Amino acid sequence: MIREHQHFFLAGEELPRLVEAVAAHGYRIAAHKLVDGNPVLSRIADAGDMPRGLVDARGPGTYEVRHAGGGAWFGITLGQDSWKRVLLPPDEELLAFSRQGKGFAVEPRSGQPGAPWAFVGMRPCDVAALARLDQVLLGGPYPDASYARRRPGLLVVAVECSAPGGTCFCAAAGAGPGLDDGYDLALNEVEGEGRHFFTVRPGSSRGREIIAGLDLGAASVEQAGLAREAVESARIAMAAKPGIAGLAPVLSAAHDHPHWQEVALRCLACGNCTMVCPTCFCHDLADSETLDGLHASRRRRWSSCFMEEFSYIHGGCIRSSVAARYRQWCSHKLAHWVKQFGVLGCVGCGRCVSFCPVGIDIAEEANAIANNPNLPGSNVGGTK
Amino acid sequence: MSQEQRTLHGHPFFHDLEPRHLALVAGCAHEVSFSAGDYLAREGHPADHFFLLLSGGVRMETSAPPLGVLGILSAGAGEVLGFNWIYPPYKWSFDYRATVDTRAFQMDGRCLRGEFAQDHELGYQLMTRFSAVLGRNLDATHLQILELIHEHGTR
Amino acid sequence: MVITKKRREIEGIHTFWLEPRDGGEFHFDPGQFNMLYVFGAGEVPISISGDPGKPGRLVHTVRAVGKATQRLCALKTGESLGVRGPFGSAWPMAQLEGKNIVFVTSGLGLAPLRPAVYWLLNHRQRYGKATLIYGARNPRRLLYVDELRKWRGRFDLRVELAVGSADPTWDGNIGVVTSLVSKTFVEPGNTVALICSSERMMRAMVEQLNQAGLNDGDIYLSLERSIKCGLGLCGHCQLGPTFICKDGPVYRYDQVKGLLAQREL
Repeated sequence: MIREHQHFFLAGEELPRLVEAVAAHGYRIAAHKLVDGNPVLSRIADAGDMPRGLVDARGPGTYEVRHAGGGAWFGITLGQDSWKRVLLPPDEELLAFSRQGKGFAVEPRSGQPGAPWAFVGMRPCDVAALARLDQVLLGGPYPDASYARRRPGLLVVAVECSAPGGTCFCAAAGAGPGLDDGYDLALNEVEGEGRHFFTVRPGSSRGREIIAGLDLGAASVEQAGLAREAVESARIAMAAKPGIAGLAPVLSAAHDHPHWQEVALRCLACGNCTMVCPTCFCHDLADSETLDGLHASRRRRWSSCFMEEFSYIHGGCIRSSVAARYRQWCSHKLAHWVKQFGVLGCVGCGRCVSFCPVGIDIAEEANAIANNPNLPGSNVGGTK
Repeated sequence: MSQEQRTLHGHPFFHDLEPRHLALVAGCAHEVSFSAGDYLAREGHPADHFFLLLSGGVRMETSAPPLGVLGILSAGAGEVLGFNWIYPPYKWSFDYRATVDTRAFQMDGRCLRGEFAQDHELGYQLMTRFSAVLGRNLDATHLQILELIHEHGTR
Repeated sequence: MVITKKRREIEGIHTFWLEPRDGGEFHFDPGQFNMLYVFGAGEVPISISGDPGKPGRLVHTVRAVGKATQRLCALKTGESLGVRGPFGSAWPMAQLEGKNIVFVTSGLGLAPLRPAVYWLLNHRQRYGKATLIYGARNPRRLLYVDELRKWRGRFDLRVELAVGSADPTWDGNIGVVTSLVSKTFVEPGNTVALICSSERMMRAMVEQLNQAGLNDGDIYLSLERSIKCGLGLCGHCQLGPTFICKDGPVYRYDQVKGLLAQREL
């Protein structure tokens, strides 16, 4: 009998068998695939499409893929894509309209649910981000129809972290580097010093079914211990990162803090952070019509609170200064989200830090305010 | 306290004025009444007084071609009208017209300025009151300008 | 829904009466809004401004300011509009029974308040004294003039109007609506104010109401931010921790006072 949280052993070279088994259960597989040298979340045919022996070197404003030697499957922690790209696509048609006499008919789109997805290689931060999106998009009285169609069948094949990237701070966000829940299968990859193997533990009945078909043996105490130690070492590696929990009261009271202006001097308001953020859910609804006026369409497109027009109402924009827009984003992640949903809106993946052209670090900026909350106020606004 | 002083004391503008000051301002006051349509003051005319309205209603208005005659502020009992007596060239900036039968105290500005020269404390008391009225009017005017900008939809 | 009647209120502002193509009723609470869709042009959040006691016809008053509202205002009787809703919080009319009610509003702000006025008049005996204080730039910019005239004729609703400027035919107040609050308002004891105007004007209204003796908890207001989805999903309408589209648009003032004091929030 297979029990939950039991650790199974999978040899390093046998990952393709696991991927095949998942595919055989009817899932479309999404994983990192190299596109122009960059890991991009893509649909893959089999494990052969996955990059091996590579690692990502990340710092503020920098991201680089390097050869590490060896055959690790999951040496790359994160790419710029988060999985929201699949579940909440950047651009999708939601509704189609067509004229009918003096009225019109409405037809919901994005309605053909293909086979369910299996996300292979999801990190704990991204598993946590998935739970955040579920809460926002499915937790209220009006669930998001398109997300709701894609989400339920999803199979999460997650990988716990042993080597955090330079911008990772999931431990501070309480979202890693290990996994407690939210997965169907959790993998730990141990590679180096002549060893290469996975420990695998199922977290759901679907996960157990897949494992059952693979006929895996139990991991030894030593193997399970090595996997656990690697996660612990990842936790220790991130220990020096500034905390982001518990900042809600101070940030909520810091609307006028001069540090927002200081960040605005560096921030380009490009919106990269919101595009790569795995929890940023804001979007526009864009309507258009054909030239003959007979057909019309509504598309959902990712949108960003860093764009001035994001807050447009007739007469003008609410947040016209960059300081106000950065404050909105940072305060939403670390303060307002807590009031709205009871958890942090940040999972500490660090993508926003790596893919910020000027390397602004949300945790550092928030702590700059928290460490000096009573600076004399300089009103936010006024400086573009 | 004379009947006139009691009536003055009953007006919100002089409400908490000391009796000795009330006696001084009473010496500069005389009650006037206007029929509906009468002018209390005309734009450009010498402004050597102001009005404390006791009853009725008065409208500040002006002729603004091609818009015609436009009312731009209305006032009723308990309000004070007219500031031009305070500063040179002591001329009314707008017309003031009674819209209904109206009673008021007309306060003689020259008389008051004379009293202020003797008794700075009285001057301080009155100027404080006038400043408050002017400040509130100015705030209200700025809000109106803001409403206009809103309606035009541009900043 | 089908436009069964359209009326030009004032320059650039139209009122539409809508009915479902297949009949049926549209129930809502005073203060709620709908997302109105104009074919191809987009969707806009518009307060419901009709009588909640007459659910057979949905009434919206719309100002033509952007692409969608301009296209909306160009629609004719017999044409169709998409309607999603009703969304958002409502003026807490049931909770306010037994109170004196004062409505303070200016310009198009009367539209979201009008259902609350209807509600009060439909259940008149449940409320104390009622006062409507309403301001506009000039007499021609007053909305719903025929109705205002009818309401002024009632003994159980005091209507005080102020205009910014007027020709001599206007016999009412001239000045900004906020100054009417101090002139009109008398009994703070058991009174609640429902206000709707531009955000800055509402701060001035609150100031006047405070001076008249009302506490922040006795004042309700309707707020506006960018609303795209109406469902709390698109993120645009956030004001600090609240989503205007689902937590608002109607708030008790003390709940949002701190947020409204901040710039560019």
